[in-house]
Amino acid sequence: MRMPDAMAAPLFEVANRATSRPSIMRRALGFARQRHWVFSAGVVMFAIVLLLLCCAHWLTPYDPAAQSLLQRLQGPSSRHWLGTDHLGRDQLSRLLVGGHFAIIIAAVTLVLSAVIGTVIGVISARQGGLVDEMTMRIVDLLISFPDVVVAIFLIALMGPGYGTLIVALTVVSWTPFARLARGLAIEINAKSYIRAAEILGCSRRFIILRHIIPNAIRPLAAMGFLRFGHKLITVGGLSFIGLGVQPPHADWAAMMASSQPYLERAPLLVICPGLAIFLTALSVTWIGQGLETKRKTAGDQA
Amino acid sequence: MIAPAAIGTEMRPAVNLQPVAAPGVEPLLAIEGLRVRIGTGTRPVIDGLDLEIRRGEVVALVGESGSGKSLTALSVLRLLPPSAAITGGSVHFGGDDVGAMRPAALNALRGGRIGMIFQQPLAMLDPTCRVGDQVAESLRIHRGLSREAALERVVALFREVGIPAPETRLRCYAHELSGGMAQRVMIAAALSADPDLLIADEPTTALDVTVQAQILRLLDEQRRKRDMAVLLITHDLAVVAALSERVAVMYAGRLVEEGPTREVLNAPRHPYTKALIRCSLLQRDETGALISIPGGGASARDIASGCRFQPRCSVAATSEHAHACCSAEPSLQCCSGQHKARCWNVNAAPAMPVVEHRA
Repeated sequence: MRMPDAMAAPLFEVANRATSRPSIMRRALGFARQRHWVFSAGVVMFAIVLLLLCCAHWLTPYDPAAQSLLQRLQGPSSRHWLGTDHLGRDQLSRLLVGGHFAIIIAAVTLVLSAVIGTVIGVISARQGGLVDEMTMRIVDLLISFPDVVVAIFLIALMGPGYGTLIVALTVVSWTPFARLARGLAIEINAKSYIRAAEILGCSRRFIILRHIIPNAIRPLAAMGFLRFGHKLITVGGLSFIGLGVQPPHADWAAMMASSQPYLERAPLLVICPGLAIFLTALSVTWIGQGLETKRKTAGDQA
Repeated sequence: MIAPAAIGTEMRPAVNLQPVAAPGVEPLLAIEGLRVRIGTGTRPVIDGLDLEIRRGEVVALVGESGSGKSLTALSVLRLLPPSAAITGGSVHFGGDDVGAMRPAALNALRGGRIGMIFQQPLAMLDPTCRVGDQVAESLRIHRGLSREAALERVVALFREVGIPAPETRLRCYAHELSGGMAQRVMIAAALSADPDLLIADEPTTALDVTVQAQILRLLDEQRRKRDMAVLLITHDLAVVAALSERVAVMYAGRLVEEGPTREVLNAPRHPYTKALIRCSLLQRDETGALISIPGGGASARDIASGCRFQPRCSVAATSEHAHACCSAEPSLQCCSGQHKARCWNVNAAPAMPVVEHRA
């Protein structure tokens, strides 16, 4: 009944890994370097789009709503870099302001649906039983209808308007987040550190906010960016059929719709806004994909 | 003694027991007739467990995997996994009925009055949270400290549990720590709210031997300094011998032997305890093979009748109580002083010395 001699041994566990932590910039760069190149490409592209949209007010060479019927459907020139539309409005100016609507609506609905979906999913997972079962069946039901159809139905019910659009899009888009958050929460809930937190006497709310959500945030963020691209296209679709922004305000999808009859005479009028939607959606999708996948380096297995 | 035939399988041994604590002194933790069931329709996996721990006492709970040791600890905190449920008995801590506690009182109990450390310290730390914040959590909940004040306190705690350079360690994440260091962090978290009882569930099993010794010494030091009771769950008899004052041996959901550590280890009365000690000494039999207990660890669920250890017992078949061994379960009987064993042959079998004192 004695303690082994090794107790007298000194502590050899000291390693000085944590003494200095690199700055946020360096860590962000390191994070990007670990991802696939599409991550960095997506971030750069999205940053450029955002910068252009933010500064659009100062960058537009003409008033985007100013008509000049004498200069209709002009091709690219030194005065109008991307030409003019069927009402003689400067295409470049309209393109610069035309992204505001889609991106703002998409971002607002995305944030709303991510928050609502995550909260419902996590609570559903922690609650379990009948609550969980019912929530997930509702999710199944909503997911089985195409987004645009449900959104059009809701807009028809509530009447047009930005508020309606946001509500309708949120109703159709919280479900994937709820499903993902529930799965993640169930997985994290089984982890020992949740048990440890319970044994330390943490409350349910604290465990959800402090332990479950931080551990689920990366897949949820990746999902968020992937859905952002999806959302931009849905908003575009609704705007294209006239359920979005009202004239004279510019919107990429609405520009495509109004230029469609002139496709043969002035294809740029359709191609440019289409390309703008495509590139913006692509950039956020790349960010989402890059967040999910880590670049394989020489030392990695599998 | 009651005639074997009169004893049903549902008999509660608690009736026969004298309280361990001196009269008038209330035990810190009193588990009475605890029953825990997993799923439905099966026999309980913990069946009528009685255990008392006094203030400042170190009690070891020994037994093989599946005997219900960890479930006992989780029952005390009412944190059983969803599939398991307490179906009988009571747990009192400091005079309060844990079974009747409301969520707020339970949260104050967990981590506040009872601390707990585990086998896998690294898995117990949240990978997205700095370890300092994790330990501070407990202080903020139970002491109502601000984040800054809590972190200051954590530095002091880290220093106390022997973590070098605590100010920088605070900002580490779990993956930056070694197993021993993570266990020290867990100990700091468990001690942060000055608990009256520390439950240590195989605290050294996952650690390197030298680190094991350091952790054990740290535990011993801290509990002396704080006059804290410790429930040590382990299957390592060397740890039991080094740290505990009293030992309780579990087999298949039942206590089979209980008593002062010195007495139980030097003069075990139950054949299971005897066999366990022999195995842990790595003694060899005549053929030179390491001694083992025949058969596999029985769970409380698959016992038919009679003594739970009977199928694997070396004494049962040849003893004068052979019939009783197969037909009825013995109660926990006093053999000397506070030493009790659950065996029909308690008094027949001489207290055999199985441990020669090693220098």
